Amino acid sequence: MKQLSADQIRNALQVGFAGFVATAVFQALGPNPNQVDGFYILYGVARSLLPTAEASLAAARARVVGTVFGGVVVALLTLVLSNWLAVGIGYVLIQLGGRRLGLNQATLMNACITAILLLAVPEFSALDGWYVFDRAGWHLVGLLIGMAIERLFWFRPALQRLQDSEKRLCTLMLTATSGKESIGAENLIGLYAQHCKIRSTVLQSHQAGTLQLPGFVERDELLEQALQHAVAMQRAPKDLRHIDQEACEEALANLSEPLRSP
Amino acid sequence: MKRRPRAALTLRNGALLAFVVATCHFLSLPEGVFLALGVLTVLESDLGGGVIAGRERFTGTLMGLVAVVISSGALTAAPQAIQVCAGLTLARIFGFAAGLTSGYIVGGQVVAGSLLHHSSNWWYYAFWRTITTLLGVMLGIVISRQIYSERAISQWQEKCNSWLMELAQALSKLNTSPDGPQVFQNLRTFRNELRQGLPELAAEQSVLDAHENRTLLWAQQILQQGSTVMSCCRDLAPLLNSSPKNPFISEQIMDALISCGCTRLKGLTTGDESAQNLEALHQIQGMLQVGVRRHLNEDLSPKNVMAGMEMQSKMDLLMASRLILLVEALINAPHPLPNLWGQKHLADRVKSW
Repeated sequence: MKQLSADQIRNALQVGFAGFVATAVFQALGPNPNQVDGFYILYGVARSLLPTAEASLAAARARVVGTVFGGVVVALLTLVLSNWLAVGIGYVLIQLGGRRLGLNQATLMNACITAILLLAVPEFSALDGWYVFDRAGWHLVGLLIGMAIERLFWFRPALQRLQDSEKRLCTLMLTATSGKESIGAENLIGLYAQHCKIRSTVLQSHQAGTLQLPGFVERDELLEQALQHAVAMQRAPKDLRHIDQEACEEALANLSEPLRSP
Repeated sequence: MKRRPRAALTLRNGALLAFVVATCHFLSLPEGVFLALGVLTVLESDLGGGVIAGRERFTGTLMGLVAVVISSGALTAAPQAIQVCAGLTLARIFGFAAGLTSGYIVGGQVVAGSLLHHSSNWWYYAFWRTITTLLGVMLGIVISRQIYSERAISQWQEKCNSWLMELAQALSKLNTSPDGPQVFQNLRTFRNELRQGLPELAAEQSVLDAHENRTLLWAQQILQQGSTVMSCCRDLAPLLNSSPKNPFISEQIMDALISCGCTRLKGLTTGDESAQNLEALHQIQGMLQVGVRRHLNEDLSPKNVMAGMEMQSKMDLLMASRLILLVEALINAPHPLPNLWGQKHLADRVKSW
């Protein structure tokens, strides 16, 4: 069992609250909301609120586009064939057609799930195109509720996550240079790879311009230098280690001034 | 194990899914559709990726079941919205505690399906969903392993070989026209992608041979030593260019180091490498150590370093550190695994027939 982080606890509470709101909407639909597959609203909530807002958005897009694409393929296929063989043929058509259209793996997976549900569950087959419409629509509502809750509580933009990641890396490298704790080179490499991922997310967002400002570029270079020396320090021969230690400390000292948000 | 053509795998998966759905219908298996979805989850990726996806799906389902049992049991009299709120929160908490990275979504879906869609018979639905998911995941793993298997290691090794070849190229230019920082950035991105594939190798190993972790160890070591070669080349490029003369080894030995290093890196991708090459690297290592020791004791002793020359002495020490690391990493890089290369040689021989 892993110990939960504060972020994970916050995320669990957010999902719970989003579920509460979604159930209220579900109950407001009337005496039998499942007639219109209203329960899918909660499936949408369960699929949202992923570790980052960008991941939630990507998952939402994949779910809705995949559901519609899978539904269209199955609708066309059932004009000719609608027995268990259609499941296999539907799968192949979705994979081949979807890849040709440039759909990603997650979207194709969602399309295949829709195809299987439509063809293998008689209750859903009976609804025909309405099933696809209801499923996609209620999922969309649930996903929107989830993403709204994500924005309302404890929301951290990508730039802030980048700053937090930088702080974490600096603390770790300081610990490594002080010799208080041994931090493996592979750990540092892994953490820096995560940092670079967040950085590329910022570069794709509206905050991209901020990273091009001279102060930010300089900090980025300093962090890179500090990391290169911190990693080399873990690998270098003992009597030559101090060279990297000093260089790392120097870069970290220059980084010690906090990064100011625009 | 060679990589399989994608179209053939698609056909395999399509045929198996149709068969699974038909069997579930024939047997009237309760919630049989989740068996098909479990199989689909595993088959969508190679064996290693499928094992991870299957584990996530089953563990997530189980966590969802536990969350539903607790929230329904403890909050029987509470309004449905409160039950759902508690169920979804618990499913995420249990999922995170179990170390899931995406399976908690399925846990939430079990809660949604049980408490909203099948609220009158949630136990029947959640119980059978869990059972059929387990069966589906297990069946998927067996199929992925036995029928036209695609292994994560094949793809990983192909990528790793390309990376090693690019490293060899960067090393070959070190003394003449070293690559710029962009080349090393690209090499690092490539390395990070390879690192991300390690969990899949571990998962694959766990179903192929639970007692042996040779493949994973080999992959970790090759990445570790390759990373060292990469960072040494990156750091040495400007140092060798700015320094008029390498103070530790002669030009000829430096050339020999680069040449033997390139041969070694290329040898790691093909499995063919002469013992003399490794021996030559050991000799270069010896000469380098002697050169560095002499330089440290004589030229760089505090009384010999003149005022204003500290910077140069630091550069020299940095160069010494990187040269030692470079040779050490080249020597310690592990040989390709015999079973993998045995198959490659066999495939090459078949091609030549």
